[in-house]
Parts: sequence; C-alpha cells; structure tokens
Amino acid sequence: MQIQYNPNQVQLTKDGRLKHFLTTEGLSKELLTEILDTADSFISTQERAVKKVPLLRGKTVVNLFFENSTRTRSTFELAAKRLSADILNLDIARSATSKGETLMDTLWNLEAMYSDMFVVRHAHSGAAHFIAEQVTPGVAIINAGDGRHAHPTQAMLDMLTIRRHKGQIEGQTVAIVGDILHSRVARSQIHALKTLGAKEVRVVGPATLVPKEMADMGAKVHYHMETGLKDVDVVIMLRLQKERMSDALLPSEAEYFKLYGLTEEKLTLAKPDAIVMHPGPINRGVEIDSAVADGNQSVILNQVSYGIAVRMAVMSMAMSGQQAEREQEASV
Amino acid sequence: MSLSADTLPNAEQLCEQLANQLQTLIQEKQIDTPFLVGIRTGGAWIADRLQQKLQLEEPGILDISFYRDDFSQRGLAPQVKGSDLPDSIEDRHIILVDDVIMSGRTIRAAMNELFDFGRPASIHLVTLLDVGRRQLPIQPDLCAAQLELNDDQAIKLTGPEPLELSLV
Amino acid sequence: MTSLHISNCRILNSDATSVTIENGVISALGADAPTNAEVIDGKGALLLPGLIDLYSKANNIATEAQAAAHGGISIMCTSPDSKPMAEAPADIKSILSASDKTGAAKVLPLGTLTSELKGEQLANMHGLIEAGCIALSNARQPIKNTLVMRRLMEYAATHNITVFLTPQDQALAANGLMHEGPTATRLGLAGIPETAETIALAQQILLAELTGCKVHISHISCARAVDMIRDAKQRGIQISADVAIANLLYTDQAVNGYNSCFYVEPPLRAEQDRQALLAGVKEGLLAVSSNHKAHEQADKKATFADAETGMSILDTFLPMLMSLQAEDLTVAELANAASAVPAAILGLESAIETGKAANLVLFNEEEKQTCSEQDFLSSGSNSPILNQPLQGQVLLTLTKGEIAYQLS
Repeated sequence: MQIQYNPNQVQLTKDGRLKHFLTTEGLSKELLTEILDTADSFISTQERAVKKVPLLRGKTVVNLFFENSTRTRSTFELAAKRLSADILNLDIARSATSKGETLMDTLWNLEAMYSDMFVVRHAHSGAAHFIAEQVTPGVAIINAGDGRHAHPTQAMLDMLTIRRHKGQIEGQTVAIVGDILHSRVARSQIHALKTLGAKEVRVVGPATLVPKEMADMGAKVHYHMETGLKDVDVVIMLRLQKERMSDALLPSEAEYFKLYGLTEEKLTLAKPDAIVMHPGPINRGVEIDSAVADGNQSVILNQVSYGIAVRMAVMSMAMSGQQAEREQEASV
Repeated sequence: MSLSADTLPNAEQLCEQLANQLQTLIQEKQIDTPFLVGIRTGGAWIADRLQQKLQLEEPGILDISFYRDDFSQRGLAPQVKGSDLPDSIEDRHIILVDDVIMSGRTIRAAMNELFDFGRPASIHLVTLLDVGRRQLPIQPDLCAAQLELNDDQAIKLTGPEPLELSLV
Repeated sequence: MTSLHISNCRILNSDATSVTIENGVISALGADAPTNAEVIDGKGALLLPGLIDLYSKANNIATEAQAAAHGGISIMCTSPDSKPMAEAPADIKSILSASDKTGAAKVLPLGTLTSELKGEQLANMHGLIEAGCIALSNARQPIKNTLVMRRLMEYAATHNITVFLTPQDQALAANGLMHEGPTATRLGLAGIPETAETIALAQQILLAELTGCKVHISHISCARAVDMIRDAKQRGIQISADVAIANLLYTDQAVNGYNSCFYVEPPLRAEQDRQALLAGVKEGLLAVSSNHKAHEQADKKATFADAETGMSILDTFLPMLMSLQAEDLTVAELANAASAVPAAILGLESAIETGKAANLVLFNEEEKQTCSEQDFLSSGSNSPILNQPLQGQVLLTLTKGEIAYQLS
C-alpha cells in the first residue's frame, strides 16, 4: 500500500504561495529566492529611523514557545511589532503528564481569541506540522524550531547571510560542523543550500554526532576537519550542548575542541575569503575560538541583524498567502 | 485639457510641459529648496526628468509596496526594491511625483510612508496623467494631461529611455 | 445445537462447494443440506479456515472479540497487558467468561511470564496455564537480564509451556520512535536500529537452544531476523516467529508527514525488510498476526512523540491479509500464515476437514468496502485504512460452529 507524501501539501496554497512556514524542505528555488529578496527589502526598512511598516496592522501574532528561547522569541516579537502586528507571548512549559490533548486544548483556547498567526517552538519533531494540520484554516503557523527536524527561519537568515557576503549561494562549498544529529538548523540549512544550488554541502563531526544517513539528504559526511574544511567557501559552526558529554556521545569538551573546534589554524584549511557563521549562542572555546568568532572572516553578528528581516518576510508572506486562500475560497 | 483614449499623447512632450508647470508653481509659491520624490517606478523616471530640466537636487524614491491597502489580495510584490530617501525629510517641501493618478490609493500609501520618514513642511502632488476614477479625495496640484479611458482600458508608462505611453 | 450448512461456496484447497457442520464440528464436505439444518447461502464466496490471531491487546473483550470476528478471526490470543492484566487465575477466568458471554471470536489469553510483567520474578506459570492460558508472554516489557531469561525458559520448559518473547534491546532502542534510517534522519525522529532487535533475538535463540524451551518470537520486523529464525529452525531449535501485518503492508516511508497512525511497535522498517518478511510468510516460515492496539482518537491526535503507539487492525484483518496477493502471495499461502501456522505454534488444529472444529470464515473477494469510524466494532478506529477503499468483505465467521460474526 503506497503512501504519498509531499511536505508542500501543508505549507503552500493551491497556487504555490506560502501559507505556513514549516520547513525549507520541498520549497522551490523561486520561492526560497522570493523569501530572500523580500527579506532584503525589509533590511532597508530596518536601517531607517521609522522601522515599522503597516503590513500586519490589526493582526494578532502569538508566540507559542513550548521550549524556552529568549533570543529567538524576541526576534520574532520584534519582527511582528515592526510589521505593526499585536503580539502575545505564551511560554508553555510542557508538563510531565501533558500529552497531545494539552496541545489541542491550548490551540482551541487560542483560536477562541481570534489569533491570526502562531509562531511555534516545540521539543518534538513534527509539532509545527501537527499544529498546522489541526489549526483552523486561516491561521498561519511559523515554525520557530521543532525538535530535531527544522528551524527554517534560521536557515533562511543563514542563506541571506551567504548571499550578501558571497554574492550568491550557487556554486558555494559549505561545511556545517558539529552536532548534526540533534540539529534542526543543520537539516533546514541542507535543504535550502541544495535547492539554492550550492555546489557541495558537507557535514563534519564525530561519528556519534553525524549520522551516515545525512548522505541521503545530499550532504557529504566527514569525520575529520582536515578533509571537511578543505577549500570551503563557508564554515557554519553549530553549538555543542553540554548534555552530549553525559549521553556517552563525546568524551569531553577539551577533546571536542581539539578535534572539531574552529581555531585560526583550522580556518586556514578553508579558502582565504571563506566566511564563518554560527547560529548562536556561541560557546567560546568549545566549538569556536574567540579569535575566530571576533575575527574579520566572521559574519556572526550580521546574521543576527538579518534575522528580523527574514522573519518579517516570512510572516508577511504567510499572512498574505492565508488571506489569498480565504478570498479564493469565498469567491468560489 | 481632455483627450480621448484614441490618440495617446507623447510622454516626453508631456514631461516638458509638466516641467514648465512645475517651474511656474515653484516660483509662484516661492517654495524653498523643493525636494522631488518619485514613486517607483514610473514616478521615479519622471522625477529624474524633472530634476534634469529644473536643475534640482537628486530626487528621492518611494517604494510603496509595504503600504498598499490590497496586501491580502495581491500579496507582497516579489520585486520590492525598497525606498531611498535621506534620513530626514523633516521640514522639507516635497514634490511628490507619479506617472498616473487613478483611484488615489497609491498617493494615500505614499503619503503614509512619507510621514513615517518624518514631518515634511508641505507636499505638492505632480502627476503626468490624470485618468479620473477617483476612490479617495486626493487631487494632483499639477498634471500634464487628463484622459478618459474605457472601463476595460488601462494606461502604462514604459521607460526610462525613451518614456512612452501605451494602452493595456 | 442445530446443524449448519453453508452452500454455494469455494472451499480453499478443495473441490467441494458446501460444508455441513454438526455439534461444532465439520461433518461433511460437498454434501447436500440435511433437512433440519440452518442453510446459509455462500453466494460463491471463498471459504477459508477461521483465522488465528497470535497477539492483540484487548482492554474490552466484548468489543475486541467482535471486532476480531468481523475481521475473519475465529480464535484470538490476548496480550497479558490487556485489562485485566492476565496474572492470576481469577483474571484468566474473568477473561474466558467474558469471551464466552460475547460469543464472537474465542479468546485464548496469554498469561504473564513474570510477576506484574516487571521482568524480574517468575509468574505462577503452571497455575496460569492450568487456569486456561494458551501460552505466556511478557507483553513488550523487558526481561531484566539474560540470567532471568534463562531461568524463565528453563522453568517453562519443564512444563512444556510455550513462551512468547518480543526481541528488543532496550538500551539500543533507547528513545527511538521509528526505524533508524534515512527517513528518521530527515524527519528528526530518534531511530531504533534493527540491531536492537537482532541482538535481543540472538540471545533468545541461543537461550532457547540451551534450555530446550519452546519459544515463539512475537513480531519480528527486519530481514536479518527472518534469516536468524530460518537458520535456528534448521539447526533444530524449537522456535517460531510471527510478523505483524502492518510490517508487510508499510515501510518507514509511511511516517513521512508525522502521521501518528504509523507510530507502531515494532517500527515499520525499510522496503528490503518488508520484502524479506513477505518471503518468510510465503515459505511458511512466519505466521501473520494483527498486533492490534485500539485507541481513542485523542490518544493519536498529538505530536508524533506524544502519541500512543499501535493500530486498530482486528476489524479489517482478513481483507488486509488478502490484499497481499498483490505482493505475489497466493490465497493458500496467506490463509496458511494466518491459520495453520499459528495453530501449530499454539498446539491447535486448523483445517477444513471432516471431524475438525468448524472454525471457518466466508470471504467475498469481489465486494469493495470503505470502513468509517462507525463500521469498526473495536473500541478504536486508529487504522491506516480508515475511510479508504478496501477490497473484500467478511460475510460470516464461525467459531466451533457458532456464528461469531455475520454480515447483516
């Protein structure tokens, strides 16, 4: 018995417009480029004195964070406010006994308040997808990170960073270094990079943290920095969480830094004009040396500033996609 | 002057005409250091022409994509290039330039955006064409020609070199 | 009990077109209807031996036994972690009496192997068998260690008790939610490597050899396990295995989209595993079981990790089984895997022959049906084919000559 699945069934309208932003997987090059172009135009609005535009005026955006994150939540909040939306922050810690019913009940309660958009972060892979399928039609869902699966807005701001600092994504060789196994950022980046025409995407790290099946996603697996960083144009360092040591995944931070930490010396393996990126927050001395993080090849701080523009872009695109769908259905 | 839709006027000639009208307006009203602001894309082309003919300073450009009121029907235009204005338009006398005024909504959006940049001393509206069909109480201070179009007709300006009008 | 006569049917492996039943036993094949018999027109449908399901969770005997009969099952084994837990003779009696009262599929309870299924202390194995359990199982709960496993096998062997075991190494399975492979990696779901199954299976096979215990492996899911079972049998070890029907129909790709309907234990694995399992069924090596687990809608309407595992299979078991003809299995091979093979494992008989118990099912292959929520007799309709077209329909299921299910 065949089961057909297309991730775009949920996130796109019939005419291919974004109505939810759940994953970079399956989105066309054109659509990803549209997101980047739209984000670019928002960057210029963020540089002027009056940063607000009225696109989402009168709309209510709810930040639904089941997993804590002050950084990501505040950038979404700022993005919503700059689009002139009203924003509500809900930090819902998942209690030990809570199951799907709490999630469903939460959704029903929120819908009773006539929200227009939920920005969702959840510890379970597939949560944003689940919410998008269950929510009343007309409400846009933006995935702010679901388990290990996807963090599409982060991936898009990373793409924007590469485009702005290297000219384009096409033809670039990109290395993603670190805990790939647990990384939703890495997965979203790989889909976006492949679709946007990167020449080669490498995942680099110890075998316990880099599943060999990443090759099925189109990435080349490397267990050593010497080969992994050779002649790359972009180095993306991922954060290493302390818990990995206690799960028998790694011996120690010291050994990890020695083998996989980005030092000035290791950076020389890459091309001389390679850029260094990190989704943050950085663990200095664990995955990256201060000298590199603060060095002139690092674009880490720029990434942060692009984050608001990218989120403004996907929020306005998803909102307009939802409204367009409503209107199409009403006119039928 | 009313013209019928059968004979389209020459855009370059209309620009000449508009430039003369604007020169007169500036002198009569004694407008101090007027600042041209063209609305993308047609208005920006015309603002450039006016700037050359009147020897004014570099015009600003306004992209009103984020201020449109039909966002839900049409979504964001993917070709948004953004606006380009100096940091402050505080106390400036703005000459807002567009190619065609019809419903008046574009001008409404443009003025909203201008006020987000600062508080101008005055705004004068200058358009190449006025095709009527207003939906808002907004009128140009100057326009080079008025046209009547049939219900199924629309008018388009192509450019930047040469500027040409065509029916769509 | 009056006699029953089913006329106008196509009997598997026989030229006869009718069957006569008296006192719960097949009295004649191909004869005319006796004068005082209740006659049921078979309408040209296929007559198969009533299916025997080796494992399902049944928290409510009344509904689940009816669901089983609806799915062509005459005899069903219920897992010890059903409610009530099958750990004392009183529980067994209560299950058996509920089964008799319902009068649908006959329930043969699997008793607990260890006390409270904790995997540490032996249960009163002999007492449970005496009370009416057909075999003993530890549900999917882990056995504490290999020493305890050896001891419970030795004890069971003394009394000729068949031990049902599930092969899963808890440490390797860790917090896995699906088959470890490319789909799990892409979806960001923790995976259960097939090694979690094969390592535990190796231990179970070697201990079975050591102790001489009769072991049945519940629900294998990978190709390597099929080879290991085949190899063990060839070496003369008393071992058998079954595969859950879901693993014959679906692979890990079904989880795409995070459809919690496909969150099952053991997990659905890769296509090559599915093909090896089908081959095992075809050669008569493996039985096919339902691995039924009914749930309310709310329990499945959650994020994947928060959902309950399991599918509701009983109601649609036979049509799903017959759909495997598309995988190059014959009706005879499929019927064999779900009746004769399980019968041998349980020490029962299953055959359409005079003198044998009348456990039969009449199946109309032509009819198409679509099961909606209301059509499920089970307490749960968490089925992958809910509201989807299904080929074939059960017309009648008999258990020992009594009507367990009849299409109205």
